[in-house]
Amino acid sequence: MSGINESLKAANDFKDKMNENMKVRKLLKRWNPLIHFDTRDSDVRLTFKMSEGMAVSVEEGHIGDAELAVTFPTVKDLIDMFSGKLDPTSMYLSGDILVKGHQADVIKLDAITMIIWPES
Amino acid sequence: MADLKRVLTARSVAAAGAGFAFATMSIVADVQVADLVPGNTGWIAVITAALFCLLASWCFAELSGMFPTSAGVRVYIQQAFNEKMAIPLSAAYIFTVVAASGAEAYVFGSVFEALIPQGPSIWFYVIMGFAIAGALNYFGIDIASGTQNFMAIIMFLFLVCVSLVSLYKFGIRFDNWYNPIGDGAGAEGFITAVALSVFLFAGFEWVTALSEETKEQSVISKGMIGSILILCVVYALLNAALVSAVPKDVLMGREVWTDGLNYGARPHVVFVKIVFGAYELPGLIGVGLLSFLASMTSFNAGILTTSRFLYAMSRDKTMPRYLSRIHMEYFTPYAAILTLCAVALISSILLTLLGGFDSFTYAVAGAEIMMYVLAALSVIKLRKKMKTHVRPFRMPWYPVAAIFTAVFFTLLFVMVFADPKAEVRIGFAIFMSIIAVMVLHTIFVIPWLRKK
Repeated sequence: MSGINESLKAANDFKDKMNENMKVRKLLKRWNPLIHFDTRDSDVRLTFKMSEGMAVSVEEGHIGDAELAVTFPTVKDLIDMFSGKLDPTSMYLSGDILVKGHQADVIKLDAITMIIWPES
Repeated sequence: MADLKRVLTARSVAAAGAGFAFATMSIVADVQVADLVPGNTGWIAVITAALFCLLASWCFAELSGMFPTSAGVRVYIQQAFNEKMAIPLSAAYIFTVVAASGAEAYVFGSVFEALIPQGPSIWFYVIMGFAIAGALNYFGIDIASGTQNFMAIIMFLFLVCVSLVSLYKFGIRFDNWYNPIGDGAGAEGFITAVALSVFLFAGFEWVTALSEETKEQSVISKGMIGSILILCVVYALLNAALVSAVPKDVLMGREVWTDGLNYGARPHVVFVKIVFGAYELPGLIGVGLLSFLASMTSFNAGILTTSRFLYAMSRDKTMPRYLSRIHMEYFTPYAAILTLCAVALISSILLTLLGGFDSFTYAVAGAEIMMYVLAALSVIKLRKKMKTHVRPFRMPWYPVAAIFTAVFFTLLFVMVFADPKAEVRIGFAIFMSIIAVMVLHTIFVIPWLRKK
């Protein structure tokens, strides 16, 4: 499947960054969601599992019912977001990234990127 | 599309939309509408405005289907036109709503001041209102949609029942209940009344911010139509009932009632006193609860939506960076919430000191009408620009309906602000000042913020 290996690698690197960051872990200590990611230009689908402030796993495909679902325009955007090369907020505000879920959870998702990449 | 654990239904969206739009100040605006037309014909202006708001809701349904995001209006304008236009106009729209919260707080306070004459001053209620709404948002206390629906239903049922009792008890009172341009009044008053009635529905489109919490886009379009219909029934009945029970001069505060009080900012209090007669105590308790629920729902929804918007703008480097601060325990954009509460409080202080709370109904009506015009123009532009983009909802009778919506609301905007009355002029000045500040902010401050 096109881009799945790169996406999984970028997502796993992001997961490690999250787990290493104590501020993120403190912030997310009571947040246990499943987050689905997909893209419009490919079949790449990922499930991010969080538990007690830790990113537990990144798996291929959509598993279970998610609290949040994030759709990127392209696989490249998804990889760039996980790598910190893309500013997700401005893409969200321009309507390019679509997020489904409760508004409070959307802010949590944004806060993670803000803490990991404070200059983004 | 992924499977989500929690999704909203059309019924919840309709109740939320109606709840967002309904505030204590709406009753004051309903009276203003009644006063602009002869006899008991204000209800016709309300229904006419509702029909045009339905057209506008089609525009929002198409746009929110294309871009189901809580950033709503900013995204639609940016995609259709450009960022330089999207930022000042969407921010001006948001800040006008926030400034109007000051007027709502003033009306809310004056209701309780009238209900409890020996109680604290208006300031106590104003500060209490913002403190409760601010605390709910600061601590991230999420009122369950079931609770919100229940509160909205209770408020609307109370108003419908009191209105029906009033109409049964007092009749229509005027011979003219069917011709809003009759009795030598002409069309001008009716057009202004329709424009002002748009204020009554202001907020129904905020449910597009809930697009992210729905699975099917039809939920948003059905919800918007549902909320407009609910509000139309409530306001039209209330309009006819208010005029049937209480003289217009008393409702407008031009004359005091027989108890020596001026009910200008709280017409529903004297209305309920008259309708309930000897049983006024339960009626007044009902009015107190109604005002409390209406104002709190309005403050809460206002701060919730606008604080997220401000937070997102700050993250996008279009507002100062401190506004993107998040509370580490409650996960709320606390800096944006506190700033908005402060802005609304300052607005209500200025209103209380300077007077003229009714100008805000015109300022908000202007902001709403501008947004409906922009929504219609965005639909037209995007049909050309993004022909192949997925549209879960397509506006019926396009392009006639879209062009008609844009032209009608543009004319309405011109007509409403052509009125030489002082409160209209002040309302226009408030609205234009906010737009001017946001344009200057876009030209001078944003480039500096982005450079930083």
